[in-house]
Amino acid sequence: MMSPVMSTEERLRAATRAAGATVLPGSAPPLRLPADPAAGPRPEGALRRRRWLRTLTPLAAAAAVAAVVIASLTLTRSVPARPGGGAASPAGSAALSSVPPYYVALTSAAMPAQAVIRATATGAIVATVRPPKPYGTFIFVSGAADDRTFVLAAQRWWPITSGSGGPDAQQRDNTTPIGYFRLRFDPTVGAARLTRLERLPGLDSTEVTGIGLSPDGTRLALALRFLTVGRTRPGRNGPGSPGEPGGHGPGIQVYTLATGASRGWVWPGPTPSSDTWVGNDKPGGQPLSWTADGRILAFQFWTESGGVTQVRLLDTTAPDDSLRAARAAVSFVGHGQVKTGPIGNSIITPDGTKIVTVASRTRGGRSEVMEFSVRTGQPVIPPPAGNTASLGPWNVLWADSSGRTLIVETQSGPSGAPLTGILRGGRFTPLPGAALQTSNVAW
Amino acid sequence: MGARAGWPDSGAGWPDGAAREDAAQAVTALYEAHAVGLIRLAVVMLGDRAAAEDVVQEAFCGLYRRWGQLDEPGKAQSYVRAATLNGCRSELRQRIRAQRRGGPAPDAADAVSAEQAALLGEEHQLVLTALRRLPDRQREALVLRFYLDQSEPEIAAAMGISRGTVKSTTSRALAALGRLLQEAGR
Repeated sequence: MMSPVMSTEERLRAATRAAGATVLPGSAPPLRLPADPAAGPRPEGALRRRRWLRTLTPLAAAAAVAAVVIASLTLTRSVPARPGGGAASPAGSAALSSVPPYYVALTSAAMPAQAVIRATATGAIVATVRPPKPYGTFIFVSGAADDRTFVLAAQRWWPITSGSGGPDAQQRDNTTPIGYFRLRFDPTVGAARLTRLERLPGLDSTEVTGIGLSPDGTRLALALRFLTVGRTRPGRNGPGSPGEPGGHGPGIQVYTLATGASRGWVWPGPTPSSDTWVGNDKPGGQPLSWTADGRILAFQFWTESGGVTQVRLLDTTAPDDSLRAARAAVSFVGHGQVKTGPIGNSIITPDGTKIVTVASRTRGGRSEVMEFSVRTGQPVIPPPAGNTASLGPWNVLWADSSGRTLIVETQSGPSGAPLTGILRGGRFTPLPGAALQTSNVAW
Repeated sequence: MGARAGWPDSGAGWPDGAAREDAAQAVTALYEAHAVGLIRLAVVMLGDRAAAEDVVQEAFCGLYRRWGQLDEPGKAQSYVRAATLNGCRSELRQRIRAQRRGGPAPDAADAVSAEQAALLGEEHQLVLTALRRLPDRQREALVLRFYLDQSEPEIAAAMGISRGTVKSTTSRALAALGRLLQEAGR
């Protein structure tokens, strides 16, 4: 609090300088000049809104991570893919220019999964990255705000021919720990570097239900099925342990990549752990998302017995270690008009104002993209990104700062196959190239 | 601004080929030198980093489009600063219009991003919110005077008003800001 004897001029000077100082030197995004300078100003709303770019950590700080650099033998340059669909319409061009230019997809068409870096606007493959031995497949990917830094989780591959799960799941070796890697790439030369993050814990893949890299790329949040906060270690054999002081149950652990230091939050108490999840029911789902300031972590939470699905907001700077302290921003069952839970991901917009998801307004109703005000918990109608009558949205993969531009996956493309594209102003613009056919994707 | 000698006119004085490349390089160099300062200025005006980046991007794109018409490249910096201020003014007006329409755009004319709210303390946020409630001219005069530390002649030139008007506008703006802060209980 400022001194009460300060004059209005002094208060104004201090406040404006503090606001200006939030913009760090070297943090300006690249200038993107128009391809056709004689075409006149861009229409209102056509500007790029990559609000989560702003908290990019200086590379020097991130480079301090103590880790082993994996040799480039894990990197294969690929021939650029042919952009699909020919020239984009003006509206399509505006949509394409409003999303991050690259994404990393874990391929599921050919297991074990590789990580493919693609250009969003053209579908061109920048690089393909294989998991380094002894790992056989990537299982999670999450991106930082700079659109050049990603974290990949890798798992060993254990070919077997029988089991209770699907073929891919059966062949994953769930008895050995996950390995984490940071992927950085330079699209101008097609170079990518995979760095082992050795300070992260060696958890089994069955314990992790999702990952979320902070916007500045320095911290990784893990959604865990069982976590103990306090004196004892988490049990490995299931949900039988009752909640106890200090907490044992589903939780979230946030790790600082440079040091391995972590903080954990757990959902303790009488609710049976088997009924309570942090995450969603989609394989490879993205149950965690951050606000641009790296402070608020949104997570999906549901209890089977209560039939309640919520999106809660965890203030990672608060002293509490209980997820019960995380505010329920949206509750889907019995909440206003919305009678059904979200399908797939629920993403907080980087400006922290909205939760974006796919849900239906009435039980059994048609699923559609919905955006909820974090402040009120109520749907924003119409949603800022609009909606489409012809396509059935299936999952939200990315949202710009304010939820005006989304990347969504639909299940009703022209061929009936999943189709990924940009939803903006009520218009769906398919991303060039084939349907992603991925198990996990991050922008 | 007349067409710059040596550049073939194309449409609105737009250069072709190598000249276009030179223009892109020159504008990019200017951007690299001044973008952070202008984004800071826009953040002060708007309270939203992303919107600030958009405004500055558009200001430089505007400079690029008009590069062939610049008589004096030395005026480019003044141009982008003025364009940034204009862009901020437009952005704030759009917010107000959206608010009046009850549309899905920002909740209020003085909406700030979560990032800004987190980075700035309560006191600073209070002052900035009050600042953004002032009329355009008063707000700009205060920002130029107390954030950029510009002199009255500089402010007069930037805003296209007389020195006397700068003085009276600044005085009224400070008084109005003081009242708003008092109403807010400080």
